[in-house]
Amino acid sequence: MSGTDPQPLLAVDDLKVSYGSRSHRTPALHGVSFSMVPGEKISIVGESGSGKSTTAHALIGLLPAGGRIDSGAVSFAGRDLTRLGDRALRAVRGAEIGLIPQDPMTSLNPVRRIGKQVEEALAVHGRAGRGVERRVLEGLRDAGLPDPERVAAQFPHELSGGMRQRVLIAIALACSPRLVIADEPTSALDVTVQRQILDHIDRVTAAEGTSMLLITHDLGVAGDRTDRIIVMNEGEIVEDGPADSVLGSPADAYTKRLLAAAPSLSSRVLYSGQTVATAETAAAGPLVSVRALRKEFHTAAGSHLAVDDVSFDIAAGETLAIVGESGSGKSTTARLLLQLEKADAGSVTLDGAELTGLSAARIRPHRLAMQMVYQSPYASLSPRFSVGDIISEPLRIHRIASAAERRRIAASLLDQVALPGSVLDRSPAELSGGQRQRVAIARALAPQPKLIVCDEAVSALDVSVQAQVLELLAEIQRERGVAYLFISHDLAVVRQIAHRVVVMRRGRVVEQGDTEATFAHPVDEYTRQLLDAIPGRQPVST
Amino acid sequence: MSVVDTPAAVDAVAPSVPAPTVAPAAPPGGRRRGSAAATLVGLLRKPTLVLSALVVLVVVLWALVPGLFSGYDPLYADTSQVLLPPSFEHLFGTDELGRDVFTRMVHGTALTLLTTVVAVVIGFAFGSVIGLAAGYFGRIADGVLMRVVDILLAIPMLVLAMAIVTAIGFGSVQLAIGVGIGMIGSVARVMRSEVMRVRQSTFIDAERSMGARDGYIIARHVLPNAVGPVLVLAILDFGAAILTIAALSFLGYGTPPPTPEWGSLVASGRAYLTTAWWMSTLPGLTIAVFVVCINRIARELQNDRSSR
Repeated sequence: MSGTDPQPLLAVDDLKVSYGSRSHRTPALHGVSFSMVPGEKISIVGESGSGKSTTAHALIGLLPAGGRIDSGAVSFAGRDLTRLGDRALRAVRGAEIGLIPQDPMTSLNPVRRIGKQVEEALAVHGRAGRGVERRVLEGLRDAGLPDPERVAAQFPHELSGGMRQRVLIAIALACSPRLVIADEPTSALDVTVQRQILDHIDRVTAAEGTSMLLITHDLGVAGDRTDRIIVMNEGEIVEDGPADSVLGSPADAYTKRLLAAAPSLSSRVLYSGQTVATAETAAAGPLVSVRALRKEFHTAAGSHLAVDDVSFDIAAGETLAIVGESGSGKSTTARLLLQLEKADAGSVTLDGAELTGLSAARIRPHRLAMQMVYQSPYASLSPRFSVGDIISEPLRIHRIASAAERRRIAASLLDQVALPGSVLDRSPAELSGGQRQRVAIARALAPQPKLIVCDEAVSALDVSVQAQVLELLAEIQRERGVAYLFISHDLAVVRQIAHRVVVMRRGRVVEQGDTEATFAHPVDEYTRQLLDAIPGRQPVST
Repeated sequence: MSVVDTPAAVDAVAPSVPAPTVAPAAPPGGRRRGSAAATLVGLLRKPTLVLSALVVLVVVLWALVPGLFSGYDPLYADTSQVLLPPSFEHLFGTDELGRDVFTRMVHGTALTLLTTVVAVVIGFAFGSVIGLAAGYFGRIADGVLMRVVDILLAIPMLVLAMAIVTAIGFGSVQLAIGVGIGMIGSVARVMRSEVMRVRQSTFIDAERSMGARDGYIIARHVLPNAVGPVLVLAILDFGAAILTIAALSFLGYGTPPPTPEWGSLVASGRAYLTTAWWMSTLPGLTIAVFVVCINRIARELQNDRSSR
């Protein structure tokens, strides 16, 4: 499919980009070079800060404020894009190079109808003459939207995330560009939706012979969808080669580390085979027992049954995972368990004590035993506090220990989560995402809880950091015998960390059991779909 | 074959949790010096800001040590010096009783500024409490309190203050109360939206999950994170409050003569506008310049916050 045209479609030569003000410039790309021939599909893989998105944006002259191309050339179909003026570049963007942006939730204009937004993509390139409406509808249909007439008349908020992403695909492909740049097109979507969207991009680009540059952090997606993989780290290309050889026998040390860290259904299991539960704790019954939980949310648009008849137990020292896609009710279940929301019906017992129906004041002492780690380590730590104050906050709230003692406890917890004691007086803003999440874990450990609820606690982290945090969680469990309720959409992660798993869909439990057994022999059809949709499970094409 | 199921990949798994490295902190001394130099350079790029700060500083000094700026007695009438135009002797000229207008302006500053500060403090305190309660507790509290605020906002500040002063009597304190109540609405609105923003952040949810009480969360987390924009608004409102108070004392709602006050100074000259223009014009211009300077500083604080 390649090689018929010796002239490369896109050739990037020693591209250097830096960010910052006039006096302080931080280099982001240190001389990136690669080329692609017409029809080729390449993915650029890397962690946050690797420069993969900067590369994509530099190609089409859309660097964010403060970004500048210092040197190098981007030649596209024989022209150097870095030397084109704004007007000439605008003629290339959209018409010859289409961009599928990352976030379907914020990339559409909320006050314009979908049809008009697709039409605009044609109009700016003077292709909105007669028959434009037909072309808009065709574009929407080609992007896999059923009933395009209705969608064209709708507003973005009336569509789901997956449908909006399809609209963005329709816009990107409206002018039949020769190259499509897809910047993490599915990272905000559920796995089953992600699979449909990627399948669709594949189909459309194959039909038109469009080249694709896919920016992704997910090695599985890169391997499934593209022929060639470029691995970036700290602004440099560390490896560039055919997908199967990069994934199968990586040459670079960083690529090897990245591959090792990426969880998949064949990665090493981290939890200890034996839960810490001894005969006597087993006899005392489960640590947490959830029975027939039910929660309905009432909004102006009507009522929505978020959690419906959910029951499960968590034993002391074990990890129970709840998996499901967005809207499945897994986070609501966790919040009901923690009594952060009031259940409409059902019961939650912790160590034999009934929690539902207690007043806020009566629940307060029980909160020491159950702590939470949130998804975003950026939002869950108070920006005004020092790390030491953050970690000792639960003790302060419950008036445990003196200030000096709390500080000592915080220091020892920092040590336990493998952070240096010197960060005690720093602000969380000075730490990286992974370090912040360690601080959040230290805070959860401070009151010596029996249960820690991890709500997508590693989803926002880069794979290598994610692997470290998962190791840390497993290690803490071995040492302290704490139980985890691990909420996640990522089945590969769940398989590594959880003893048992509960699969939820539309507020109901569709399957639960031992993780190993459930993943090997899923009983429910939906569980099977979830497992099949995980990227990296398709055989690597050769 | 699965993507990562390769011997190389399995070998590369680190067996233990590697300690993440933390970048060493920059030496505090050097960092501070750098930021001080940067601040200085930044200020030089904004000459209007520096000028505004100087003007405000001078006016505050007028209020604190008026004697330093003028040797005359603000109340002493010298009938031989009636209605003299501005000169080096009398910067703003003299009035119909032979009093030095500049001296009266300087000596009137303390009363006018004090009245304004009291008004702003009243507006800020009550507005903040109302906004905090409405934003934090929501639902019924929000509905009831915000309708009251809507009513306050529906009446122009000057008219509202006039109505209140008419009801509770004339004088500086009454003036401050009237104008302060007029400011409650806008402060409450901004405070409410800030509190709602902070309240929805994950770290407040985390506080709740740890078992913190509402009072603790408000005092330790919500208020410190929400108060910034409200303080900026209070400074912006300071300019508006000075204008309103000057307008009201111009209309005779403030302290009775002969005590000097900015607004009444302007008022006393209005009968002589054709023959002695300086009596109203120069104090009026001074008020205008001062308000513009206050607003310049408030805008700077606002931009600084939003850029962060």
